[in-house]
Amino acid sequence: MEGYFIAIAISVLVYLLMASGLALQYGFTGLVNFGHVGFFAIGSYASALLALKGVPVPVSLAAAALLAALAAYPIGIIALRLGGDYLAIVTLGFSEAVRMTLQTEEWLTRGMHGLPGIPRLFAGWVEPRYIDLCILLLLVVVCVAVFFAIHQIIKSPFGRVIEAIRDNEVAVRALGKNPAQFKTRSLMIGAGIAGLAGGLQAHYLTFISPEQYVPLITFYIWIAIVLGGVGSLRGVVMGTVLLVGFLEGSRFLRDIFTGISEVQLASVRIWIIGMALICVVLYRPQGLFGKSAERKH
Amino acid sequence: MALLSVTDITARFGGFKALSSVSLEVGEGELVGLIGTNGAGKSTLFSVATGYIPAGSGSVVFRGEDITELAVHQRVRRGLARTFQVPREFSQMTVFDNMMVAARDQRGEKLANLLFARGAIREEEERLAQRVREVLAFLNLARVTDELAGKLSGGQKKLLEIGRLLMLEPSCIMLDEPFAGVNPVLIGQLCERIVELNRRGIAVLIIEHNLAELARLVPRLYAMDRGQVIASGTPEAVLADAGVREAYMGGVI
Amino acid sequence: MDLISIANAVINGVVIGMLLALPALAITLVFGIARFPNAATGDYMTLGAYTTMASQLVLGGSIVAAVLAAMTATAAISLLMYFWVFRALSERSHVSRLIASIGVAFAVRSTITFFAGQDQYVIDVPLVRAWNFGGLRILPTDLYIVGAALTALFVVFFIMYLTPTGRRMRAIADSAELAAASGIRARRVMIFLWTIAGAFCGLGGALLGIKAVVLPELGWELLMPMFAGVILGGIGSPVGAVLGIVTFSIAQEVASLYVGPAYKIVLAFFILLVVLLLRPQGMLGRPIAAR
Repeated sequence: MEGYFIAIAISVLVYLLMASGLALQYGFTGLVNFGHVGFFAIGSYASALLALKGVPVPVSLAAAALLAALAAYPIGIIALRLGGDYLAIVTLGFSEAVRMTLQTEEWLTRGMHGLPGIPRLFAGWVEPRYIDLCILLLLVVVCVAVFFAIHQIIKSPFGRVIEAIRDNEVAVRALGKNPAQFKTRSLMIGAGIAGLAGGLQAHYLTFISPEQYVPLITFYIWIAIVLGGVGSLRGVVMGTVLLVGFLEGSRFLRDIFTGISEVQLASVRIWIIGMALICVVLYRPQGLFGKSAERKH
Repeated sequence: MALLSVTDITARFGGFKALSSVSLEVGEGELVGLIGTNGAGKSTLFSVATGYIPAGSGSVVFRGEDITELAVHQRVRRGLARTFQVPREFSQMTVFDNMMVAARDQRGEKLANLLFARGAIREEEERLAQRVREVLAFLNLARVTDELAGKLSGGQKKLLEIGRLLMLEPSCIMLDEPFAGVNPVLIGQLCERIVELNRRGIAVLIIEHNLAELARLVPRLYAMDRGQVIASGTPEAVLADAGVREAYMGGVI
Repeated sequence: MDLISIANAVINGVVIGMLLALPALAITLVFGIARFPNAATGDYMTLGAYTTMASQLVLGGSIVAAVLAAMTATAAISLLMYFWVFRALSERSHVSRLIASIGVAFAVRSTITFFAGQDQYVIDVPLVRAWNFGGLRILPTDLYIVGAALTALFVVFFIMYLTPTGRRMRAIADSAELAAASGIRARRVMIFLWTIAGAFCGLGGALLGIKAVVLPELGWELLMPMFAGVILGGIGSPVGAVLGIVTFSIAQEVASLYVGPAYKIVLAFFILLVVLLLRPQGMLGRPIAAR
């Protein structure tokens, strides 16, 4: 039972880390990133492959974050000169392109067979039965650090420009600043955080395969952000807890509705996610916990 | 040599020719007006000069450099700044933050500095805050420093926009109808501030509808009609021009 | 690669391009008029493919009747979503409509998988042998598909360019503010728009289901290639959408001879990046102003 709670807490924290990256991008900068899972996947595979080659895990994790951030650079440069919709399309395409590449380049990733035997965090450092607990604690530390860093960024002069861009982009250009440059940096930081989350998850699960990185994951994160209320770090936490609560809780639906199959249950879960996205946008644009109304763009 | 020279500019929207072969010059430290009826192409000319609308043909030269192909922010960085007909304040931010954003090349805008130069950033913030307070005092906005910019009156927003430009230390500012929607008391104040800025060496180009106000303010005027410059010279000469009188239907002048 | 294989790939590209021109046109019209990229487009296609299959089971063998029934069903869902979701969001940011359209996509697809499961299906059509012209292979079914697509495109272009509703539609696509100022009633145009968008996605999905197999990811996986094609043609331009998607599909079919079919999406992504980098307004679009 204790193990189950640790597992759930770890899953909350991994989602939370991803959500904080997207919160910086969408909540504070207004960037519509529909390919968050792509950066997450890059982080997972980069860290796993490096660690399998014998690179120490802390180094491979740093490389994962860096690589994911760098992958966001060309996307930002190309898409952020144009309207916001283009970023949505390009990032969605990016995450699918990443997944297809991971599936196809078997010499590197073993394709659909997945990558087994990824070095576990803390393996050999602590007794096996405490490893999960240690990973949990590490994730707590990482999350706190990331939230602190995001808070610092928002409060800095950089954050002030970001806020101004969200308010009135034309006026920011009239002040001699290039909005695309600031947005690209925000996109890169958010992607780096997703990459780090991916790396951490890979070293917790020890096995990864391309089907873990479907677009649905991106929209899990979106629902967490939208539910919690855009532009609030507290909302991100609440939204993520709600999301994982729902994902975990819905597993027990089959105990109640005994007649439905596994496939149908999965359909019901996705249906609820879809409907929740529609309903929150329609009826609660400020999120479940937010107060202020959504700003018009 | 002129500070800003716009030469033979043409701009089209679909089939509609908004500007045809327009030329205009602003000298170093000069105060120049631009008049014309609605739809004469004044704002379009501003937008082409500042890079919001691409020029169909012709050139924009600023401080001897051809800036026709440059992006908006690059032109601003070279010292050519503008305000908008409808003020574009950052409505959800305070007046103070509106001003702080404007200062150029802040150390704190670089993320690496957030890690490695925190002291320098703090110092810079204090220095900028000092300057913001000076400019706000100069524009009589000190009282509203901590208000949300969206809550200001129309006139105060116009002042705030000018204030933001001053943080950029530009060499030429282009004001798009600075007096529109501003109450008469504030208009006098605004005029006075504009003259004061000009005295400090900043060249100013003003679009204005309010002819009487502008004629008193500027020593030299351009008049536009239907996408062309139809007259230029001293206010008296321009206002006496037959074409200008006709464009304004004789009534207003 | 020999010439015959390339020629066959080109033919295949034309057929797929013509078929995808229908949903691509829906994307570009919705983008121009309702002003957001509709991420549910792909899943409306999936719905079309599944309803074709379902109505064939219910109505009996006639494939034409089944396709018409599918078009009606997707048009109805599309209208329903307009009245429930997108109409209410029309005054809000385009990001809100975009996010909601993702929700619609998931809701539609999961409803399908709830009833039909994750299995693949085939739509029952008479099997015919391909005509072989010295290696050039042409399937009679493909000719029917291209014929159906062309007919639908002809009808919609006729409406758009020669009827009052169509002219209103194009006026709104050009400038919503201007159209509102001149008193064009947007309501009828929107109903027309979403009917066409739904019916075309349904038809496209049905034709694709006939050509290939019916599976839950059918439309969603084409979202990326379709957006790439639409942007290549110039987003917002109806003729551009058709030209763009056909060009794109031919390029994709020929290219996958060299890099393998697994890279279709990767290829689409790179073509999209290159277009956005070099010519973001596409083949026929107007220069993109700050939106």
